[in-house]
Amino acid sequence: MIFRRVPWILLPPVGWLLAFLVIPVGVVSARALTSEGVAALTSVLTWKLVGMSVVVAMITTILCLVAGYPVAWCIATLPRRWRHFVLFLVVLPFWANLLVRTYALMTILRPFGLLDTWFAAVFGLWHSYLPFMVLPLYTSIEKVPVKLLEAAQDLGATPSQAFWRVAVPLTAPGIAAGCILVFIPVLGAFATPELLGGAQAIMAGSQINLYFMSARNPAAGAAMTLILMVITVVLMAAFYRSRRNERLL
Amino acid sequence: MTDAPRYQIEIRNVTRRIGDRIVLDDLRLFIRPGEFFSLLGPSGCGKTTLLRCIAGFDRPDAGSVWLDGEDVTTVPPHRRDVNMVFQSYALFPHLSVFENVAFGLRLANATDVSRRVAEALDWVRLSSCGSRKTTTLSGGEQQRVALARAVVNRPKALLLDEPLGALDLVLRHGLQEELRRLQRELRMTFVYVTHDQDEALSMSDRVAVMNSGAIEQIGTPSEIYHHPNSEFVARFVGTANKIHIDGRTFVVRPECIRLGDRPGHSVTVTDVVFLGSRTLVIVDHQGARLVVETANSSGTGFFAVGQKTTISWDAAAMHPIPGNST
Amino acid sequence: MRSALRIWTAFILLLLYAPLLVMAAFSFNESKYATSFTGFTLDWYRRVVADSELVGILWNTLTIALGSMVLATVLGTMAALGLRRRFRGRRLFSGLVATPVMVPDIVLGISLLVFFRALSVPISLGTALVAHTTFNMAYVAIVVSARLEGMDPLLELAAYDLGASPWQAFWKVTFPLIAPAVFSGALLAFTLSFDDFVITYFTTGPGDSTLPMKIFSMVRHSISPKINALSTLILVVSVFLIAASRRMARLPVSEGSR
Repeated sequence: MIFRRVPWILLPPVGWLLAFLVIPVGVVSARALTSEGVAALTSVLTWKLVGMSVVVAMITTILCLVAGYPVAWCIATLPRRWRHFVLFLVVLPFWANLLVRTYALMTILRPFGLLDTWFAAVFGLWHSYLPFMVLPLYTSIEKVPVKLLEAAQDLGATPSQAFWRVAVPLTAPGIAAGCILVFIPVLGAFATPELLGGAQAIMAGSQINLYFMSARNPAAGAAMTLILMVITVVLMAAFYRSRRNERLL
Repeated sequence: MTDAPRYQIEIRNVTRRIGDRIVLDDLRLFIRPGEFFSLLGPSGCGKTTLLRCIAGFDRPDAGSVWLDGEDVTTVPPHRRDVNMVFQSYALFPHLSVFENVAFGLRLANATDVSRRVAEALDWVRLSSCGSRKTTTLSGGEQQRVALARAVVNRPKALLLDEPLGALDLVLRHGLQEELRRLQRELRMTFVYVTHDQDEALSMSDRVAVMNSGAIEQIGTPSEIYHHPNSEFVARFVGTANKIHIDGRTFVVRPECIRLGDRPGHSVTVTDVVFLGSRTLVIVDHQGARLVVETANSSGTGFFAVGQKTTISWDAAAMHPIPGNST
Repeated sequence: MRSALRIWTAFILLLLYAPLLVMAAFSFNESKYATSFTGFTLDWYRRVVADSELVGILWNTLTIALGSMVLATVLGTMAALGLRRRFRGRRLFSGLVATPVMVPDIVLGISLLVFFRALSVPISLGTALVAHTTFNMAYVAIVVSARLEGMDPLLELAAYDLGASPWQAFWKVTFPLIAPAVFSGALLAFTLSFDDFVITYFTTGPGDSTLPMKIFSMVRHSISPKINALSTLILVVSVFLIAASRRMARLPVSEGSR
């Protein structure tokens, strides 16, 4: 209460973030706004790839939501001592090495001839980011009292009406958080589509890599990075604005 | 003793604003050494803020705080020789009972830590609990540890912020007695914040009744109860019947009103509340609601709702409310 | 209804784990081809351990992981402590601290790559360490913040009141209470750094490869039981570290439960 100014203890971490996050992001933005960058920003190819990435991210997000909601609901209704264990099981693969997981999928998909397809890329992304959907969903479903659903049914709602009119609105914050947590990283995904999608499924991330590592056109790469960054910031801002008191993490 | 300052704690014209709200308004208060002093008032009256200003957690926007004849207004809390007992105990969960009590002594590099901790635990009757974890104690025991932790440092004053607020009634009464005993034995100045009038009246040498950042009245419990100087004090401390006579306003306490046995004002009984040792009879007197308290041993008899009777009181029982008698 | 939900959950868990289990199983397969299981062998693990190039790469990975763990733990804990206070612009600062968790890895990786190139700093283990510290700091701050939120703010006031200076109050009261979260955050940072591919890929030089980068380049060319063995080893280490980190975060402050 006595502290009105920025506490001194924040100076080292904030200084670090200024030096290695804010300024680099500024440098990339400046790079993207040079003439070559602007050329890339206005090119059809750039927006085709961004559009493709957005579509893939949306499909992945929807698949994660459809698969994850029943899982989160199931965990929330499990006996207390099982709950944390099953939740841990769902979240654990996320903490395991991304490359290892992707490689594991490769070994499974290759014998079926599914490697280097859009299906493989989306399946891999779904596999990688499902925990991001389940975690916030579980947190918000756990807060919905079972009594409310019983009350809705007592008032004449069918189970499906109770679900759509009571459960879904009450868990909306979890749905929003889960969708954002899946959509943003998938949009910028690089390793998974690169290894599983191959030449068929090229997303923004692969193209950025190409611009920087082989095509030697960093301005165009910076331009695409800027687009991803702007989409991220807009989504985050919209999320925080819509629910001031909810925390994403 | 001759050089000792007259006052242990002096609050000199302290003002404290939080946002645009004035929490303490040019407040003056002088507390004597060895006194059990209570700050009584409804929640939001500024009593806790005042206590925090004495402890050093809050700094006044204007005015000064003096401790033992020294201006401590800008002294940080850890260099002020006062200790606080928090309502929520604030015991360190990672330390044992013994280490909680020893905390201040160790910081001060005291030499006889174990003897003094044992002594303090003895005062609060927890001698056998030193090695226990604080989280295994009951609420009442935790509050005693908090008390021992504060008094063991022999501060110039002990500040208690509604220390019994979280305890149930039976435990409260027990601890009230113990606090009083401890205060007498140690001859320490206690500043006790409470919103419970019974607690303030039964324990204190003097009471300050606070209302919206200012002190309404300071006095002994008896003065406060019998000679309230405002309607606020009269209503906050005990039940007050307001009576208008010749354009002046008086307060009469319920137990000073006699029912029925002699001529007086005629009234109608509207409710009867049985309370065990006494009965409250609520009567209507020309549209005004008056509360009359009768002891159940006095054989005043039985009153029924709707019954017509009379009330009367001695002139000495009438306390004029000065000033704002509207 | 309930059993349908449970069957669905079991099915999803199967989808999540089956590839990992299959991968681990084939690391013990005698045959070079992952089509059928011909016999049990530890030969592939022997080859991993004997690979001197891999040892150097492991060393690189550990250097970055340990270095960024230490830096990120200190910086992240400071951020969490500072963000408890109320001050002008607090929302902005807490948003800034959490940003590295939210932005796609590629954005952070590319930004730092462009930044280092602009400064003519050659990318190396050092630049990767800086990059890892930047995102790890955010995770540590989040873990420690959660613990601090559950801590009674009066405990620090009580310490001041009993004569502790702010420095003493921190080391005698605040730190012992948040220590489990600090250690948990440190382990988490180590694991994330150990596992990171995308950001490392853009911020370290070709001679300073890490294990995930090595796997990336290996799997582009072929699938071999040796990669299965290496991947299985990494998986086991990560799972162990994460389980330890979570156990630590939930460590109560004392044996008694509140």
